[in-house]
Amino acid sequence: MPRDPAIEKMVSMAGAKAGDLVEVVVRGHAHRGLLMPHTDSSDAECVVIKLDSGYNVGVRLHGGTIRLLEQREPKGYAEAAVAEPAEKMREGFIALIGTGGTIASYVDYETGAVHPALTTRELATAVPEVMARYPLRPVALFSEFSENLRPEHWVKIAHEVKHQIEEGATGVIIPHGTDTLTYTAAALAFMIDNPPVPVVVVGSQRSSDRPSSDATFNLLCAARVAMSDIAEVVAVMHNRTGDEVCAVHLGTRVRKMHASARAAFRSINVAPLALTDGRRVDPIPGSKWRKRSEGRQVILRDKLAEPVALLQYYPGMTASLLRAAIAESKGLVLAGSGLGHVSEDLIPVLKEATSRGFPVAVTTQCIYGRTGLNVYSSGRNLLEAGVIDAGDMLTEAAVVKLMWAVGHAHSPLDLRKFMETNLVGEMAERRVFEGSGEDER
Amino acid sequence: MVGLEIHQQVDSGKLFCRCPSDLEEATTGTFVRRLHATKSELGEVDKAALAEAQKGLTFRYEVTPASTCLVDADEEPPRPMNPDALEVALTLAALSSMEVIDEVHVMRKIVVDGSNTTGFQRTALVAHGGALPMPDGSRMALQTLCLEEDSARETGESEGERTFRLDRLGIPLIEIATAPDIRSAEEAQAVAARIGQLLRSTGRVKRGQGTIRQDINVSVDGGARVELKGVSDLRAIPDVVRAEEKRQRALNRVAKELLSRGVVEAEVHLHTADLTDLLSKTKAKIVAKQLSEGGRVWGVRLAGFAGALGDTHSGQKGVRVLGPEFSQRVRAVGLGGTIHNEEGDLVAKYGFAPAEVEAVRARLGAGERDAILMAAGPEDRLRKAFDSLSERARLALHGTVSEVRAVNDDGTSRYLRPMPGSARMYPETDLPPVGVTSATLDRVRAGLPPLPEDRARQIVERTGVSDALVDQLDQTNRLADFEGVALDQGTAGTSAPGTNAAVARLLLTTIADAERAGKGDFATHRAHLIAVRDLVHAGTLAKEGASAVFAAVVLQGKALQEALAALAGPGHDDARTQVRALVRSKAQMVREKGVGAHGPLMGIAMRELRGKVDGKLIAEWIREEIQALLSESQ
Repeated sequence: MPRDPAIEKMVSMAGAKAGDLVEVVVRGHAHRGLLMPHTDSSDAECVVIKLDSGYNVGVRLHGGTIRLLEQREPKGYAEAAVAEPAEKMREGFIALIGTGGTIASYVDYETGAVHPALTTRELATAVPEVMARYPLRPVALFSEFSENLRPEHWVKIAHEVKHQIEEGATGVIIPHGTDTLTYTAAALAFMIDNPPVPVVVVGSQRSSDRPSSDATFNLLCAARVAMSDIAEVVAVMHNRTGDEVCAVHLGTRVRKMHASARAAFRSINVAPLALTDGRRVDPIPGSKWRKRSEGRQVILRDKLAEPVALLQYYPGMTASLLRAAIAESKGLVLAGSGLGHVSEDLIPVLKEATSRGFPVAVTTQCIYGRTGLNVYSSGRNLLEAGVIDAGDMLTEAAVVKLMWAVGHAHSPLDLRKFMETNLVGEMAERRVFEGSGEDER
Repeated sequence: MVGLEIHQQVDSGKLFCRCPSDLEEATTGTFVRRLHATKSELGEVDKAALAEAQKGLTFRYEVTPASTCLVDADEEPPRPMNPDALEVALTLAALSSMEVIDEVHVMRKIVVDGSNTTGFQRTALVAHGGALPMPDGSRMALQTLCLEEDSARETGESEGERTFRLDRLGIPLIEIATAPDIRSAEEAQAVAARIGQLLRSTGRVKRGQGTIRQDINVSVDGGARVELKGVSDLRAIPDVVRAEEKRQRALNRVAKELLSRGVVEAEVHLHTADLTDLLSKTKAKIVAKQLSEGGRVWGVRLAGFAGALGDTHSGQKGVRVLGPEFSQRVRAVGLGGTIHNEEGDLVAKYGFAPAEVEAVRARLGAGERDAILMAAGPEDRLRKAFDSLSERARLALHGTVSEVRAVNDDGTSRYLRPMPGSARMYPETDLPPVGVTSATLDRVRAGLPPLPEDRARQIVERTGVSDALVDQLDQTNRLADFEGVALDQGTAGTSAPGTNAAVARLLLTTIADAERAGKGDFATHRAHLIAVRDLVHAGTLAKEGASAVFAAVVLQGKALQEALAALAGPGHDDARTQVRALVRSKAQMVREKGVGAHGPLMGIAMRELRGKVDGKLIAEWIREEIQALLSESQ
């Protein structure tokens, strides 16, 4: 709750601001400590004091007094001396492009707030172990929680990647919030044509202010992959709960499959490209990737059409809702049930839209597996209605690809061709069966 | 002065997840993690955290089937604080008239020794101030009452890796800290006992080994505070306190002595040297073994330290002052210990050749005023060890050093780590604060248990058993169980004190045995206990036989009837005959002592008949037989 105005007044009358040393007396008990900033999870009548012991306590100020003992100036973030790894730089460097998220954050022990690293130096200080081992050149591009990222941010990142590679980066690491990490990875894969060096998107599920953070291990693995010959846009994240193995996922094939666990990121419908323990990169048998070729020019195809809509079909979805989504967007990804189905009453709406050249791509909401629109009549009706079959593409990757395809296609036919063709590994005609069926889940 | 920190497990589910709080034997898998010392925004790294992180350990965690979830594995955010656990904490606060915090904020206390998967312990200050009501009516000032997560329990250690089991992680702990006002070793024990007793009086704390742990803070003569960790037996407290007071006084004396010799901190100036070449052919086993394994031997001169390492200043022969401090530092980095010249003669005790000792002294430039220290092992550990030694040597001039120590079985202690700084605490941002409303406090106050002595008095009055027995039941946390059986069955006032005493003994012996053997607890065997009680009360089963019957049922799994039949043994007629024969065989004594012979005869008879016939009956029979014998003689 916001602080009660009467309490707010008492605090300001005392001349106290967050961080100052104050004494609060209520019911005859004195509490001495630093005044903490008010947060909305606290009671409206409470002031929060950090005692000498380090404990925070909330005190209901009503009927009590607050007195300023000593003003304290906020202490800035200490800029720890970051040694330029000059020796290693001659051999090239790895660009570390900060975008925000818990992977590069630090804690303000006085207020307890966790801040994302805002400056390049903060970024470097947040990952000391990795800085010590690899020739990293940090760049703070922006600092956003990944849920606040928009397609324009993807474009900004793509331009920075191009710039860094042209400056001589032999690999690029992009620390990123995990929520929408896979969208960014897919977007970069579509926009950066034929990257000459590894472009590694990496996140952490536990923020880096915690001793148990997975940020350190994920970053070490990301740096190792950035030194490898995998010239693809990939995501590198924990493969298991332990700090032992990370998987290298193709950016267009990876999905966040758990809200909080370290091993949340999974390659869907394909095996990961490789596994790494931070020291060596072990390819998964059968996996292929573009090889590093540092002379190759970086070409950006960065036109993304907005907005594109994503709807997941469910029993009871109405034609009017579907119509509204179509009216508000430049393209639609429809995650159908099972093999990609929707109810028959929606078919005419889709048909009307596609006849005007509005693109509708159909994926399966099952996550694993591919669409099969020829199996049942409901599927065949969809095809007749003019939808694009997205095959075994991830729904999220299909959304990004549709933005990109609408942005770059010159005609509906062109667009259909983009969507139905594998461009950067996002879809395949064939899914290798590993034998037990355990991968298909 | 002495202060105590008592940690007691609460008998509820875990504090920040919805797991039960049971320890388990079975494990279903393990995973490996590393922890990192994190920096604050000021670039400060906590000293204790850094010391742990520098060990570069990996941590293996054992998952158990029933008591481990994603929260314990640090794979899911914590769930809101367990309200039952909070209520127990509030109950204790109310019993000690502590000031309850209006809004409780959960903090993260950085701990990177691997005992918490997160790298921090969640802890919240619930109340402060107040005073402990002592049984004699006096009061002992308290400082704080916190509610926190217990750590994972260590189940193994190997080279570079420590193993922990996750079942204990997250069990609620109440931590009560007294003011440092305790004046004697005995008072420390009494205060610890009292806190334990008040905790048990809530009826909602765990019992058994490891469920309550005491940390003791000791400082003498206004000097630095030392925290002694993990005293699990109350009776050990006085010895631990006394040993620590002696240790600190000796350290202070040595510091004074060093200063009076003109040793100054900047000039302790350690001269360290590699001695491997000088000792490559030594017969001193302790060094030769390390060298044969590829290790090296280093030595250091401590300028002006002659006499400071041994027992010269300890006031007790054989109790060395700085020697053990150095040795513990070296052990803390994984080496075997130190060799120094004040522990015994280097030649006679360790087997160095006199020429080797001379060469070492010469290499180190050690004169009469100096002490020398040596250690052997792998070079990387030697480097860490000698850094730590150098730090410890400089600190020697300050006397007592503020640090955390672990208590040994003999009451002495060993160095564990530096005292953690205050920077190691920051808010648990995954949990909103918990407001304590006046309604909650009113409810807690209304349900407050009586003070233990009041309750004990009531129970003594109502059940007729002795104070001592009630005290034992209280100390073992079985008073509520006893009340339940002795009073709650509508037999209050009707069941004889003897029956109740028998019930008490069964709780203290057989039920305790069952718990130790994993054969159930009070709840499992309650119905049997009541059945046995009723048999005793009805006179069908002798008090002395109750234990054998109950044990057969509880420990051997026999049916009650079967156990009773097995007990039958000689009938009363036989027993009566036995008693008569006994008294006749001691006719001489009976004639000399008259009724005074009753005691000794009773002792002999009970050896034979205990558990078979009610003792009261035997006493009666002996009395009759004595009377009969005496009247015959007249």
